[in-house]
Amino acid sequence: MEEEIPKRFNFFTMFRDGFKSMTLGRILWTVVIVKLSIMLIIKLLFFPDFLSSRCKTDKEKADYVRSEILK
Amino acid sequence: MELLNSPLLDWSRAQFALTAMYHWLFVPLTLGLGLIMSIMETIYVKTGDEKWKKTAKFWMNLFGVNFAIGVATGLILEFEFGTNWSNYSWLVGDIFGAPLAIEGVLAFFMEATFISIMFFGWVRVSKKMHLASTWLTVTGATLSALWILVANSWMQYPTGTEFNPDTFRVEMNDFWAVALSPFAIAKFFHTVLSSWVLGAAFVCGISGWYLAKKRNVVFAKQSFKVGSVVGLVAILLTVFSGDFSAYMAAQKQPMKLAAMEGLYQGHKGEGLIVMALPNPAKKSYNDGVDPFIFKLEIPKALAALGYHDFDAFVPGITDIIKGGYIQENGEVALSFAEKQARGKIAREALLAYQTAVKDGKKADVEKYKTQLQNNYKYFGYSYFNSPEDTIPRIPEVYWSFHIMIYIGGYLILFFLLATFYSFKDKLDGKKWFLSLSVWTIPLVYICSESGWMVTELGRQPWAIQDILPLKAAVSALSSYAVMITFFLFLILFTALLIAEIRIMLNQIKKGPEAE
Repeated sequence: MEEEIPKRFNFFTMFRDGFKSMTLGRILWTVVIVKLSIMLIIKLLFFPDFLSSRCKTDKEKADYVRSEILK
Repeated sequence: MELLNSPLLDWSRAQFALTAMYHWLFVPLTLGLGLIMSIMETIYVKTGDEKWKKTAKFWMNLFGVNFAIGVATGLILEFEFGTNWSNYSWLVGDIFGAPLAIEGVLAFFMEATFISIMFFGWVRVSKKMHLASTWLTVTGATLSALWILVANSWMQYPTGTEFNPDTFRVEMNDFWAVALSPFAIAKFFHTVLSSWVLGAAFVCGISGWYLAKKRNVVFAKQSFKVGSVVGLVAILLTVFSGDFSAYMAAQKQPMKLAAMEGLYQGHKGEGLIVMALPNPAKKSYNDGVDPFIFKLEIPKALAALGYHDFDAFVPGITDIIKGGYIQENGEVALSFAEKQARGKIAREALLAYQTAVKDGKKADVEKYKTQLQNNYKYFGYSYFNSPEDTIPRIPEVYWSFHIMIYIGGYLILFFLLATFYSFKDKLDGKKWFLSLSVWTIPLVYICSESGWMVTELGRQPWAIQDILPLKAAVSALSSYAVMITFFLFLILFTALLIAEIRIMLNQIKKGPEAE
């Protein structure tokens, strides 16, 4: 028996009820959050913006790359 | 460039390859499974048969697992661009900025919006609205792939752009030339179609497992039918799009085509190798040693594949280095020495341009800028001392290409049989074929990854074809720092992959009745 479709579509209630009734989704969201947290830590610790860490302005960045490429 | 040692380049490349290959485990399944579950839901909406709804929902769950584990893995590639490949990132920021921004804003948000309706909206929106959301989720994912592939294609065939010596950036002057370059079109169709093949093989493999276990027979048979038809159509179209990709490689990256076939000395009407035993004694392009101990080939097939002409001249590695042959566009191919000379003129013009700008000599500024623009096409050759430096590693490219071809050939036969058996309802007694369908899943992944290996290993040593070699693109980092992050990613990716496989196997064991 199909459930009746509400006459007015509401994004908020769709998300609220959807998240509440999740089963597999809970595991997946946990995986996604853990993964994104690890990625954020790795990004902050090991992946600085190489050029921004050495140069402040676009001109300085251009000059730095110029000197590297034309070495 | 002598400061840039080889370990740094090797670790940076290894890290990028690891991340890209890991990312590519998820993308094709998202595209392929997305299409198949959309077809299944369409059948449900058309027929009103609840069995199809159940079937579509089961595959949607597996799509969700794959999507969740795979989402954002591509972001790591962007971290690597900014840290490990900063020279390259600066140089191409203007080109990559536009396609990646479109990808982020349009495709990703489109995908993210409709995926929530797809999972949460079954009892919230009408059948047709839900179906539209499912198709739009898949369309969004495919559009994401389009813009990434446009960016990648530009690296293989830089067009629609101009180098600005003041900002030291390559700037886009023709968006449509970049977005609709024949390379981008060929790559988009070949990649998306091959992803459909992967999704179809995945569906047939898992359905085959259910049938072998005599579980959920009706569900498995209807899934097998959809999977086999999608697979058959997609693999045939993949072959055609692959032919176009080979044609583009022959026109713009002849070294890649020569490496794919281990072709050192070109001839008219060159054949395509079906089976061969490469000669380990072959060490250099000009050592006179035969590259194969034994080879079996289809006569004239490489000429037909690369030039759509059975009698066309297919240049080998030696020919490309020596130049002098007539290309399809009627121009005489330049030798390595000529390209190197032009590259050096471009480099000297760039240095002279800077001095002229500093000294305010307007006439010289214009003169050197023109000189630079006329020779910029070969700028990258100024980095190399020997023609050997411009040859990709042949065994890797050769084997990646041939593994892709062998598995691709197998997949045609597999989907022909799969379609025949499923539509004739003869799958029940075919235990060997059901086992084969399960084993086809790892094979199709190997095929898909091999395809990317051909594309990326075949264009070595270039980051941007003929303009920027990898050794000039890499950041001056410590190789140990890159090595550490390589192993960190290896651990993270392995853990995530184990998690995905476990969650997916768990869902498969539960079956569609778990819905």
